[in-house]
Amino acid sequence: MGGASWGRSTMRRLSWLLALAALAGCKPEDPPAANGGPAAGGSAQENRIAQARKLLAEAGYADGKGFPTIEFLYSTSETNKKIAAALQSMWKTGLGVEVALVNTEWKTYLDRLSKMDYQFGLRGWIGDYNDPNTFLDMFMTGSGNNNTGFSNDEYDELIRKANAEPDKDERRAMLERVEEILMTELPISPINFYVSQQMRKPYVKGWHSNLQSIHPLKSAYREDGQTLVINNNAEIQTLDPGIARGVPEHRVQIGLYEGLLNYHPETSEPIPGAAERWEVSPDQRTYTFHLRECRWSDGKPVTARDFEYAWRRVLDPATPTDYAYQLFYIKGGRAFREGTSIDPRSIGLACRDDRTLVVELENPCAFFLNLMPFFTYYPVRKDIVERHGTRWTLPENLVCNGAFRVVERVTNQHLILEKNPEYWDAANVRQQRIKFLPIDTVSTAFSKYDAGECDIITSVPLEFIRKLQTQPDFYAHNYLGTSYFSFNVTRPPFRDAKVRRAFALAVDRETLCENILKGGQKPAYNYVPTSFPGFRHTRLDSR
Amino acid sequence: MFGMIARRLAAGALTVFTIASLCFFITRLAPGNPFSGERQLSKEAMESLNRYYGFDKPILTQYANTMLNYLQGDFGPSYYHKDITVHALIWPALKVSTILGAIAFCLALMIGIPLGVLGAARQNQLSDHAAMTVAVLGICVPNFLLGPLLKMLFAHAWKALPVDSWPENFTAWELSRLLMPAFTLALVHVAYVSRLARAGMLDVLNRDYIRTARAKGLSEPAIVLKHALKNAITPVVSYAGPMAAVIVTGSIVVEKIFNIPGLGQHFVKSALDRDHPLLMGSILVFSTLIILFNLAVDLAYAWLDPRVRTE
Repeated sequence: MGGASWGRSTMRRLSWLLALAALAGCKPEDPPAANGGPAAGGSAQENRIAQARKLLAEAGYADGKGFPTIEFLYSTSETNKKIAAALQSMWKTGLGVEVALVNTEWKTYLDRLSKMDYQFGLRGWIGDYNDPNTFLDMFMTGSGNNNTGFSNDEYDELIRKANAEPDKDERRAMLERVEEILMTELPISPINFYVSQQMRKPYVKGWHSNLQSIHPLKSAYREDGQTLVINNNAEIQTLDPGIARGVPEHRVQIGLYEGLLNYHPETSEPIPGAAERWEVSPDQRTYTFHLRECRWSDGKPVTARDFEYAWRRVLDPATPTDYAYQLFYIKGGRAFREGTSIDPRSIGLACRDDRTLVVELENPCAFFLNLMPFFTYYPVRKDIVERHGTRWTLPENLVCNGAFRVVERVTNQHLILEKNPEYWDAANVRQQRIKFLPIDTVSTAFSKYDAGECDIITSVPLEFIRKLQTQPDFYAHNYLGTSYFSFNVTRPPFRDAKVRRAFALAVDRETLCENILKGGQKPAYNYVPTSFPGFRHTRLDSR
Repeated sequence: MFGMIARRLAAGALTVFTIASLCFFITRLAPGNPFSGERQLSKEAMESLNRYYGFDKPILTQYANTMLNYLQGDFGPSYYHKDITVHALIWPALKVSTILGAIAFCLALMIGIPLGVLGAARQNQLSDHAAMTVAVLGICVPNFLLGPLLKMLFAHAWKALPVDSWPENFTAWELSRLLMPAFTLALVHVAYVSRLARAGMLDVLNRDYIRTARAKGLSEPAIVLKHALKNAITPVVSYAGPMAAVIVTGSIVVEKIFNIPGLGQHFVKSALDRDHPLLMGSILVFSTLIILFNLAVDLAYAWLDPRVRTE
């Protein structure tokens, strides 16, 4: 590195000037007028708008006359701002309705959603696991993530039934009906399905784009053997898998720990991990896992008791975690966590011997194995936690069972992992050293990547996306998530389902994806991402 | 003299206490919850978190506990960085901010004083206008523009300097990571220092003893550097105290642009994350620093000017 070189392309320099212009307050590209010009949706969208105007008239607001002033809430970000402005203009031209935009910083936004202190607002959801249920169960009555006031008995009942249903086809049919109810009642209106965008240097191998954007570190490596530098988009909150809660923690811990099952590096489907095989009882309520012979980073054997301890620890009401619900599929888990049972023996966990873990479930759970690679299910060493308390995760104390271990952790600077020689599959781990950066500003991360000091970035500046898309080191992949807006259905005007449908139909999703988001996002006319084979979706404009 | 120091320290302690108390209550009035996220907390999760962090106790009890802990130098656990204490977060960050600030401070003096002196010695000539143009630019160009501009030129276009981050070792390439952020932080102060030095020098150059020196046939550089400079920079010295405080505590934007793990990052992020203990810790460190710097400036005045001592 170093040395003066003028060999940069004019385009590159121009794009940096554009970044500066953006900083100085002028937009490099103004969003095109929504609904203006020939939209990709063409006449289909015109039909939708005609239908929307009819619905609004039926609700008593012909041509938007007499419609009260309403506010659209979103959390502050450049992308959200552009989406909100486009929606505002679509509702204005399509329905003749004036919508005021209100943006707040993230925590205030969350506070207003949870207190239902909003009329309608921009939201999104990324699947916790690869199953439609992670999208649908949030709109059950009283669910913490509902935030719409929507409540439908048939909806709740179907989800409960579906999750106790051992037959796959039956279950899928029930969840299809659940989505149909959602798209009929429309407490929410989908906008688009997410796309994960990343840039990675050509010498990075074994790092695959997949639906959940999950990247097992075990398989990733740099061809030249140098340190692999990955931007993690945020500073991690903890290295304790029992209290971890977010994507940045997941990206790191996936390399430090190994659950009973692992993610397949390409498809993110569950594959054998610390357990080499398992059996499921005929009633699908009992899972028996057989552990392979493997060791912790301090050389001690990994036992079924380490898993049992870790899971019981998460379910202990004294553990400050918000992911305990991930273990509520286990028999007695919820009751113990919520304090209705204080007998630890009531939890359906038992070790038949050091290498055999028997798990009893509350109900059959079709996606239980999909949960196994998730961080809340990672094993934790009892003696280490008890000896060091909350300090057990500091590099000098941490004992882990994954492909890597921590060597250095400097807050807001970097986190350095090194290959764990005790790992059972160490022969197949090619990378010696991985460095995570915590840069949370997209432009700063991109500048780091552009300067060659970072090998993988998982967010790309929207301003340059058109140009970057043409580069060979740019990767876009369908991502298990949906962007949508939700209504507060407890208050007028959105108490009326016709008004909700009118607002949902008036959005020109093709134009939005094509001209505003520009990253290859797909318009969403239904809520559950279309990536579940065989799942029949109901479109919001189908009636 | 010692009486004054004692009085000022006592007043400072009272100020810090007041700030801490105000902060405690204001942060708790802000909407939102330190633990809220994309996924809403269930009742069970909320209860476990409240119990663990003591939010289930009455607010005045929490306040009393917090203040007692502060007296013992315990800032408590951070809500965001769940396995690191506020103490362990703040000191390394303060070290980073102080080193960066010290370099920027030296740069401001080393560039600003010669510019000012040059301007005064060649008053209304080309070099004076050039120096003062630099000064005006320094005051006008905001650091959030200067930072990216420097990055674009030196790191991306010319590849002469590393793009950002804190040095990881003592090689020249790694140490050069400090150049752009330090310069960005210093430029506005270069401007003020050069203007103060110029004004001070112009004032001194019109004094009688300088006329005497000229009459004795001393060369112009000898007059300016040997006889005038010492007196001319008195205004700069008095500006240096507040400047030090502003530089160490005011690098928030620069830290963000250049990806530097300083105290400013904690300050901004903890407010957005509702990480009350870390926010209070950062505010207490910042306010203590400002109070100490001000005290140091006053002591320097007293030392320089006997009239202040008797007041």
